[in-house]
Order: sequence, then structure tokens, then C-alpha cells
Amino acid sequence: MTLPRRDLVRIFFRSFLIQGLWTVQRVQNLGYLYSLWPVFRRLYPKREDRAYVGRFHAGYFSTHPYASGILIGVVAGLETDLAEGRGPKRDAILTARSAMSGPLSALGESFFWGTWLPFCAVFCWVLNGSAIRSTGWTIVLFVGLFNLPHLWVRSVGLWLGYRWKTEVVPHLVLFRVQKMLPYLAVGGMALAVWQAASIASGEMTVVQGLLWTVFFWGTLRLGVRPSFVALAVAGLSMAFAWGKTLL
Amino acid sequence: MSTALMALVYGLFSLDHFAVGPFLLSRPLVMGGVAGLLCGHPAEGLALGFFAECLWIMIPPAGGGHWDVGFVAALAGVWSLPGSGPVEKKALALAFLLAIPFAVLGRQADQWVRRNMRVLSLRALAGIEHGLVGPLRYGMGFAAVVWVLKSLVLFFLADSLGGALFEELLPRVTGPWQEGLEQAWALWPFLGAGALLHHFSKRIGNGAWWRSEIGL
Repeated sequence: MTLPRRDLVRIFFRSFLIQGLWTVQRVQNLGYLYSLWPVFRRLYPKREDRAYVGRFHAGYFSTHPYASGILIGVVAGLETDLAEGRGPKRDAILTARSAMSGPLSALGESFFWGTWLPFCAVFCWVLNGSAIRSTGWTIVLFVGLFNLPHLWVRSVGLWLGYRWKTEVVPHLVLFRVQKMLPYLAVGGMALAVWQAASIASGEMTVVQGLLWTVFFWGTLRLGVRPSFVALAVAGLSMAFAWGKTLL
Repeated sequence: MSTALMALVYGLFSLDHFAVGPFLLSRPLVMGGVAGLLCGHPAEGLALGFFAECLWIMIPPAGGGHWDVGFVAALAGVWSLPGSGPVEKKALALAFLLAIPFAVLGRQADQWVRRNMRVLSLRALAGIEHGLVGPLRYGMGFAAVVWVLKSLVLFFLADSLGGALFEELLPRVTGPWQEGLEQAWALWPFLGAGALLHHFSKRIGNGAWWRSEIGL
């Protein structure tokens, strides 16, 4: 038995609510159950059976929200097999879920939060200073650019997970996300330097601007919080201005 | 009017990091840009957004522990940008500095609301254990409504208190105070660029790009 396409579409849309009713104790378990519910409804028409399966899946669940589609797809595929009596036992499904959630979470964190988000921000910053002058279009570009891989991972990941189940990992490796990250990071650094140089052309020389940027980079590398650095810059600037006035 | 609209936008977009997505609608870049558009100074709003985005780029837009950095840009925007005349740099810098503590306090409210959502989650879990998804669906809907209301209340409180403080302080910022704040506003974009460099450099590998596998 395979799930009808409309069930997969429903799972896809429901997976956007993975963060819904997030709790400290079980994190995303309710969003995950909500996404999987169309599968349970399809496989177990009796309410008692759904309650039994629901109890199994109601434990701690935490992964990257964008990678959740892959995991939900894997679990949906395995549950479908189990309902037909040819898949692994339910304990094995939960073990596979736990084993995959950590690495997928780390991958999502490093790609989406760690690299893609700052890359999109600096890309839009550079474009806003040169090609795009409109604020509205800059916002649209930022949200659109960031969400392209987000939506792709959610939709294709769900399909791949459902299709390949626990064997999805070798297919995910083929995308070489980890290889891509340093290139994106280097590109982002180049854009940040470019942007610092173009801002500097306004009120100070390019060299001065780049020196300030490197100085702030070094300060942050020491482990100082960015908020404190911003406050310190304001405080020291005012102290300097007062010093000039008094002396 | 622009403040009320901004509160509404903030309330709805704050759902982005709470329940739906996240699609990055509650990020400072979006919030600052929208505040600028609503208040009639889009470029300055976007500048606020870009700076806040770069400064707190390491704070992810999901999870229960983060503080809402988009709130800083939204508040700073509505305080400093209204009016038809040119925007003073000292106003932007002062509004940004004043908005930070309000966002930090807002985090406490966020966490309190999240903790108390546990009641709804227990009810939803009980429903699941009986094979019913209704309590979960209603719980999610109710939680979303509570979250939007929380965001609206928080915005209006912060806007009233912080806005009054801002109005009180701004005329007093003259002479060296003004010069210092304007200098800070001129330097902050470089801090933003430095924060981005710091963030990207950590991604390349052990903080040492010359040891990177791409062999630069």
C-alpha cells in the first residue's frame, strides 16, 4: 500500500506547524504528531488503533524544523510498511527516528541558520546598496531567496524520506551540503568585506572602514557579545565626544 | 496609525517563530523594513533592520530560548521614523539602544507564555492518547491567538513606556551626546560587517580559514 498523493500534500502543509505547541519537555512532539496524523488516519481507521500508535509516537521529538519533512517522510514510509506487516517493529521505527533527528538537526542548523541565513542577509545588503533601491523588493528578495531551499528541503525531503525510508541517508549525502558550506561562507565573507568598503566610501576612507570592520571582527572573536560591543561603541563614542569638548 | 499597523504586523509576524514556518518574517531585516515602509522612511528602516540582522545573525529564528531580535527593529523603527522631515541619526541610534532592554524583557514574557502553553499541550496529548486530534488542533489555534495577543500587548506596552522615554530623552541629546550617538550610528554598520565576518569565519573550520578543506 502506498499513501495517496493528497495525504503527502497534507503532511507537507501540516509540517509547517511542527513548532506548534512546542514544549520544553517534549519539544516538537505535538507538531510532529499533527503532521503524521493523516497517515495514522489512513492506516488505522479505528480510533483505538490510532490511540495506540499515537502513544508510541508521543515522546520527545526534536529536529531542525526544515529537516522535519525528511523524518516525517521516513516515519510515514515505515509506518505504512508496518501496517502491511512487512516493515520493522515500532520500536525500531522510533529508534530510527531518534538516530536520524540529531544529525538532521545539526545539518539544518549549520546550513540554514549558520550559513544560508547570513549569506542571504549580506547578499541583500549588498544588492540594496547597488542594484535594488526599493525596500519592499529587498524584503521580498530576502524572504524569497531564503525560503527557496527551505521549501525545497521540506517538500523533496518528505518525498525522499517516504520513498527511501531509512535508506534516505545515502541519497541525502549526494547533495554534498557539507561541501557547499565553506564556499558559501567564503562568498559571504567577500560580500561582507565589499559592503564594508562601500559603506566606508561615504563618511570615511575605505581603508579606515575596513580597519574598523577587522577591529570589530577581532573583538567578537574574543567572545564579547555583539550587543555589548554595540553599547560599548555608543558609550565610547559619547565619551570621546565629551573628551574632545572638555579638552 | 502607523504604530497600530506596526503592532498588528508584529503580532501576526511573531507567529512565524512561534508556530508557523519559520519563514523569517519575524527577523529584524523584515521588521525594520516594514516599520520604515509604514512610517514613511523605508531606507532608514531597512538600515536599522540590516544592522540588527547582522548584529544578531547567530540567534536562530526558532526554538524557545531565543529572544525576539525583530522586536528591537520594530520598536526602534516606530520610535525614530514617524514624521515627514528627515530622520536624525541620533534618533535612530537612541531608539536602537532603548529598544534592546525592551526586547530582553519581552523574552521573559515569551518564555512565561511558552511555559504556560504546557496546559494546552497536556490536553492535546490526552486527546492523542484517546485517538483524537481535535484537542491538538484547537490547542494550536488557541495558542496562536494567545501568542498574537501577547505580542500586541507587549508591543503597546513597550511602545508606550519606551516611546515616552524616547520622546523625553531625544531633545536632551545635544552637543557631545549627539555627536557621540551620530558617531556610533556611523560605526555600527562596520560592527555589522564584522559580526558577519566573525560568523562566516566560524563556518569555514575551527576559526582558521587557512586550514580549510577548500584550500584557500
